[in-house]
Amino acid sequence: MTDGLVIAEHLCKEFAGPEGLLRVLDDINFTVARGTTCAIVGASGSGKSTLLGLLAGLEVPSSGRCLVGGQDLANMDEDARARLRNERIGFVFQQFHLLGTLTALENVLLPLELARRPHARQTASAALARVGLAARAGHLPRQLSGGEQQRVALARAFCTNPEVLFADEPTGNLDTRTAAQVMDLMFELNREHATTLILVTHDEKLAQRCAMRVTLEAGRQHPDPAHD
Amino acid sequence: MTDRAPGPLGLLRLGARALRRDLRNPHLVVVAIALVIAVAGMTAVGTFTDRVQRALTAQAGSLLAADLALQSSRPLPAELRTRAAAEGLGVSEQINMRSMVSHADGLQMVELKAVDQAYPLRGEVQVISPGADRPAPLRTGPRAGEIWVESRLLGLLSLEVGAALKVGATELRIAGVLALEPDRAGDLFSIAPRVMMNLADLPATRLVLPGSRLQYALALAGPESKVETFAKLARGQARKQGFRVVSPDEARPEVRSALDHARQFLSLAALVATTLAGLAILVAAHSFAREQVDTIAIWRTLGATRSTLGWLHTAQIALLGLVASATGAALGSGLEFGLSRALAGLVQGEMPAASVRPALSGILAGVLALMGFALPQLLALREVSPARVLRRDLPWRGPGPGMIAGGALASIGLLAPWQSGDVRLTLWALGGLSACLVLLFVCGRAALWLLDAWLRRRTAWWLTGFTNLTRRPGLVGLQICALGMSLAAITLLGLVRSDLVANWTESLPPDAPDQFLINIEPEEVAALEAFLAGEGINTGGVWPMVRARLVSVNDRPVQPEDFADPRARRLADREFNLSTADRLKHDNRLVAGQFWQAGEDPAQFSFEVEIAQTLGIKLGDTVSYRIADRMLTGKVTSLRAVNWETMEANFFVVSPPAFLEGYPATHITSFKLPTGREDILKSLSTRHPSVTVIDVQALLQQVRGVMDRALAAIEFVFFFTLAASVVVVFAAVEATHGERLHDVTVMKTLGATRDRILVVTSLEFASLGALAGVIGTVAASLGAWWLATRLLNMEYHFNGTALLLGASLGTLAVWLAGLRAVVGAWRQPVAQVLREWT
Repeated sequence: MTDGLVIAEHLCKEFAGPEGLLRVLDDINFTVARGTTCAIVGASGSGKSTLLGLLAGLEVPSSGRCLVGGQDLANMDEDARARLRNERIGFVFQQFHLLGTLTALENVLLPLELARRPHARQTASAALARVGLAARAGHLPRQLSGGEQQRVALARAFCTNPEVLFADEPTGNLDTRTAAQVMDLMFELNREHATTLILVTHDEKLAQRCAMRVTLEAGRQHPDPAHD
Repeated sequence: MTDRAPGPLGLLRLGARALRRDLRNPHLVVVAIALVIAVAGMTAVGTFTDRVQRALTAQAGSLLAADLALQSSRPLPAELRTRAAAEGLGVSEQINMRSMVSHADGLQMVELKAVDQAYPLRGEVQVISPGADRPAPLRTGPRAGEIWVESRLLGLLSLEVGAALKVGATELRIAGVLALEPDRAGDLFSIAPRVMMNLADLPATRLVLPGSRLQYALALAGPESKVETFAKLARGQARKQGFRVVSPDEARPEVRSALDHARQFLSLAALVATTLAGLAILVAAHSFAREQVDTIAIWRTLGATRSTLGWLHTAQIALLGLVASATGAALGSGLEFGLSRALAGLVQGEMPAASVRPALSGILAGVLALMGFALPQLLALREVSPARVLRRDLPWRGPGPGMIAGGALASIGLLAPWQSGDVRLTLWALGGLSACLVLLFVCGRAALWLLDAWLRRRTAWWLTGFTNLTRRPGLVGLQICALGMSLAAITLLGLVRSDLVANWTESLPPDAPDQFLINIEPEEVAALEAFLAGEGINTGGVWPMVRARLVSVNDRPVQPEDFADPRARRLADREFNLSTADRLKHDNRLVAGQFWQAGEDPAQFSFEVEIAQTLGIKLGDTVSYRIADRMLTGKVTSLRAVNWETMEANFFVVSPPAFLEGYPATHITSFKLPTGREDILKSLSTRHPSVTVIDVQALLQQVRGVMDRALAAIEFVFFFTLAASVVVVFAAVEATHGERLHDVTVMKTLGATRDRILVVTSLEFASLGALAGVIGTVAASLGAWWLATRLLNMEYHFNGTALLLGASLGTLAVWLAGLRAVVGAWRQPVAQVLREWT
């Protein structure tokens, strides 16, 4: 694939355990094209979240490399990776990870302010309105339901117009109906912003909505045909 | 990639927003409260001592009759006078000399003082005019052609007011009796009576001749800043031009000694309060930082760089510091104002208005303290891995002990000398604090290790409380250090405070003498003693005074020029009052050597320790004095510390009575005049007209005023220290809030009743409190002994009850704070806690 936005090459990750080194990811290779959607699936403990962390530059691989937009994350220092995340990457997590002491609007504002984007407040308000939470802008996360919190997280993720969005079990903490609504919204936003989506999930239905999939089993990649 | 981190304004905005939200966090609330207490304490104490000091300087100014005086045996440089006048300072010139005056056939040596019309620049001269029976205050010197004389000159020369007195080549009319001159204080006990004349009459006396021993003085007064500038200029020229610069704070050793003790204690207490508040800030900031780890991981994930986070936390701390410090400064100023108002009726003298400087320096100190104690904890958050958003088990090491200690010590090291103004005291206090910390750390660790060894062989549900201590050695170690330091500090201050108060009360009892009788001739002593006894008055004793000039030490002649120290030069140039003692007086303390016993060789001297140091005289030196035309040589066999605060007659140099026998002496005594019995003084002057009465009631009142103010200030600062230590206890207990909440919830889920949980936590906190209390109070008693004996020069009394009380109250406080926290944790819904914990 020539237009690979996110590329994993021979990715390995090891952690020091009580019985020596533990290899949680072993020789992972794939390319995610710009504008496409990719599901990372596998059983619990198969290394999905670790892989997501490596792809997003939250951690560094023990060996192999990971490129985002042609930049090798391992060659960047922690601050350079932080800036890359701020400018080109968005995140949605299972635990929402909103800052509990900031209102919904302030949570959305944060990445915009970190990036010194002009008209940050208007952009954040528009993003909140887009996810249907304009009226909840002044609420703290604990005053919002799980579905609402995940919508705020979506607004926060998309407001900077990221090139790639990483989502870690985004429906894991939501009931079925709310999960479906939130996912519809996420895919809608993804289309609108032409974002590349990389999604970690247990949910087979959700995985099926993605253009490609990477399946992990005990840290190793299994060949799996991509859907159309 | 370009750095697009938020600019300073953006960071400030982000910091302000984060702070606004985080102010609900209990740990940050503790940080803010600790800071408010520290700054309020520093501001209140700073304002208080500043005002007392300025009041004293102002009062002392009236004792010098000026704000500054230049003195010399040669005429003072004219340009200095011109310069002072040009600067807008008040200027007065004086010339002092010893001279003979005569009337009819009578001749008398007098202390002649010629003053200009501007005299006195500060304070008042008390003069009894003809026909008046009491002195009237005047703010001028005698007119040309007139003189004022001390009453005993009238007696000595059988004169009346209005008579003419021959002074040198001219005659001047006695226009009044000089009852008090403000600047006589430094030379209260001179033998010759005073005659004050107008400077304009001096040429006519023809007393100013080449070779005359004259003392020229230029007195100056004006606004504080101008006087200070001029004093600096004058001091720069003093050595070369051969004059000395005297400022009011060089007067009054009694007041200075009391104030020095108070200032030392206050500085120490303010320093301890600040350190305790710093400790509370450190512990609370540590807990806050631990809670922030997940939040910071999200910031990192969203793209915040380490430098952004560093600046953000600095902005946040600076804002918190400013707000809390400003609140503290306002509170401190308010409390100080209230205290001064409450004391206004109790103590003598007006206090000058509070200056804004202590409040401003309090605010700055608060921000500095926060930066030193809290910032290292928050800066360590920069190292949080963003991967924690995916895996909460990723460790965060937090700041290293070096970083914590470095920040705290740098902060205290900067603050302490600035706040206390006493580098020596600060260094000792810092050394003491560090030693106490090491003691707590080592003993705490050892105790936890022993407890762990004991627990390994036992299992029971109630032992969980102990296990909670041994399984978190890092956090519990921090708790022991913080609690122990706090208990040690408060016990130490409590001990020193009671020693100091007892010492003062002892040294200045209500019956402290307020009248001094001098110039008592030997043949008058018995009659005077009988008279005073008849009036029901107890004197502390009648002491001889022999005027003597120091001529040699170890056969080496003493020349004023040999001394670099101006005070030593002055002492070498004037006559001493030697006295006798057959035993050590109650307000004297032997510092070195042996005090003589009856029957020993009488050729011995005992020196006051400071004067001996000034003159470079050591134990065992052979010292010679000249008395009239005879020599007196003896050995220095002891050095004494004198408690000048008792206000009793004391002497720099004493010898056994037999040694001074046969030398010309006058005597001195002192007593307390019963209220309303001024008639005694009247009959005294009739019966013993040559005896001079010196009334030091005003001076005594001044000393009492200082002591009352200082005592109030001590209670005041003690209160702040107490408040700071309560915050430390709270912060230390709250440090394990998260873990305790989790543990209590799990125990609840597993079916533990409230009573059982209370037993477990009671054991945990009571043993934590007892451990910190015992180590802390042992450290405190060592510190109190050291402080009292080495730094404050007081006697140390071991106070076992206070130590026991300190340890018990410490245990109780920690236990109660722990229970309060556990009850709070018990009330939390189980499901919510477990959900938030995962």
